[in-house]
Amino acid sequence: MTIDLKTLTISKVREMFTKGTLTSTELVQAYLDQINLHDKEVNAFREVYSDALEQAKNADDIRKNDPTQASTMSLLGIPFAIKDNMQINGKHAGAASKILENYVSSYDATVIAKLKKAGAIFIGRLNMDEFAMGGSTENSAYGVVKNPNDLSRVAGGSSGGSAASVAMDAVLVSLGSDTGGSIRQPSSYCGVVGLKPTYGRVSRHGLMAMGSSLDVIGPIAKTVEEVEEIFNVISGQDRYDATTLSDEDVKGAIGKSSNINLQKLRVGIVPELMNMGGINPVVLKNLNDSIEKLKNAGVEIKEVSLPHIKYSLAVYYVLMPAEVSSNMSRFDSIKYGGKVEGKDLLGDYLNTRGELLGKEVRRRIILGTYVLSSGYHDAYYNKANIVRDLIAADFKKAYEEVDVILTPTAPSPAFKMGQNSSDPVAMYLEDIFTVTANLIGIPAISIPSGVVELDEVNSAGEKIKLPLGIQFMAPLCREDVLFAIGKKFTTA
Amino acid sequence: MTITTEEIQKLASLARLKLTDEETEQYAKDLSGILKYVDQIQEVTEGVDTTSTSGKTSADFPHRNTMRDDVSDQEINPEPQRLVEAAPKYQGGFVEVKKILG
Repeated sequence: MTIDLKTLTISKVREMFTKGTLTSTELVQAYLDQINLHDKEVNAFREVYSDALEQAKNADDIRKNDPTQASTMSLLGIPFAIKDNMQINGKHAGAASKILENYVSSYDATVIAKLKKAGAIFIGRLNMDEFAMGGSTENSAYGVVKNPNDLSRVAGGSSGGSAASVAMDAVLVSLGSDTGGSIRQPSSYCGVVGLKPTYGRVSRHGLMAMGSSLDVIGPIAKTVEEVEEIFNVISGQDRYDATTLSDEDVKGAIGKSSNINLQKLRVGIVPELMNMGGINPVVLKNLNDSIEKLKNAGVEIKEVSLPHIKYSLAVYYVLMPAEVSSNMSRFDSIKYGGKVEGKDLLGDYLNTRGELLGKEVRRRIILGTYVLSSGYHDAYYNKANIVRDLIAADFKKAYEEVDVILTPTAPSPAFKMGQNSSDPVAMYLEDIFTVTANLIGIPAISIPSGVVELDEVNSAGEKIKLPLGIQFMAPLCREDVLFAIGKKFTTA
Repeated sequence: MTITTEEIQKLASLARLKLTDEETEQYAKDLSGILKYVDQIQEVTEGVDTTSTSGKTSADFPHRNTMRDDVSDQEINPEPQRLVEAAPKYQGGFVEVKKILG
């Protein structure tokens, strides 16, 4: 049978499963065929699991033989692919790094355990920037993920494989992780929906840590409805992640923004962010078109001021490397991962970390070591935390006027491979709109907002069309606001 | 702020990273560029009397200490032998390390 993978969503698949017009085995086979056809080129997958079809068959058997159990499993037989930095018991997990080339997980991450309980199956693990450090997957030790819309461009990063796999219909839905935009920016480049939840709403137990005050796991899919459904399955307090929020915490946070009316959302735009320069004109035009579209749908648009947001990226590039330098110290060639022998213990450390960690990872470790070193700690690390609080205070004030804030997701469409790789600052500027949500913990979503047609043609002689995305940022724990405005925008 | 190659060597040694001469020079150049960008936070003069070192406080972020009893949790613990076997070098149930004393 031929399946129209392009228009498939979780709810459509579930309906077909229930009606008996599609089995999980058939669906997984269709995705495996798609991977065989396209992934040699795109390189979204680090590994396709050899038991993918077996998992699908198990799900089909449960549906056939045990309807009672099947009815309690909302994602039974739904194929997921997972970023290579999350643990699935018994599978390899490598964060696209040489230092973890042969590492096998010995437990399930909490998000995986929750998805398994709901009946989801896992067809493979996805390519990424090494240890999630990067914005283009050019830092993967296993080659760049190419953009399915134009193979001469990057898919974005760090969750490049998570976005590209969904965009190329090689899997229905995926999980990524987001420390400074790593779910939203590749989603924007690839034309899919990506959610960065509130800090602490989704457990990071079993996620390889990068910036512990910033990291969060989130879903990528083709529609807002699917992202919402997956978020509802994977979120919740977890005793294995002390930073997860309790129901009471969530209730308390929502209470602080209780004046929001989901039927009548007020959207804030930030002129000082749009006027700072460095934004591609096609992105600005697309933002203005998106604002018009929202206005025509009856949404109120209001200008708000966020005077400190211009410092967000600078703050991020102090705090994130500081946290990276401390998180990466666990790779000591003793407990797990690779080892390059030296003449003594110190030699083991120097050789292993020097040879098996990639260039960008080492750059961030050194930068983090610098900003934390005595003499510079006050000027950088402490100062950055002060500015972080000022940014949070700006948002708190802005949310008295509006319910959600709108920006482009990234300052440009997907860029050419190699274009930014010689200048780290140019590469870091791709995160300019996304890092703020991580700094202050708020939820944010990237939603496709149209395409830009280039004058270039692809190998088939067609004009290249690149997707663009817009980002909505809501107050703490108000993912519901993101889903409401996202649905409003996509149906307007 | 300009970072010298000597400073990079010192930081790399603190962070236990072996670098080639070429890498040392590249990182000195990269870090100088990044710090030049990052230095704009020095313009901010407000809020410097606060003692915040954790961030997120002004957003009323619901932070608090999370405590539990100090007991082992058998529900989650993977089999110890699997953890030992994740080590690059092990013997039986033990992780093998280099001698560090005398």
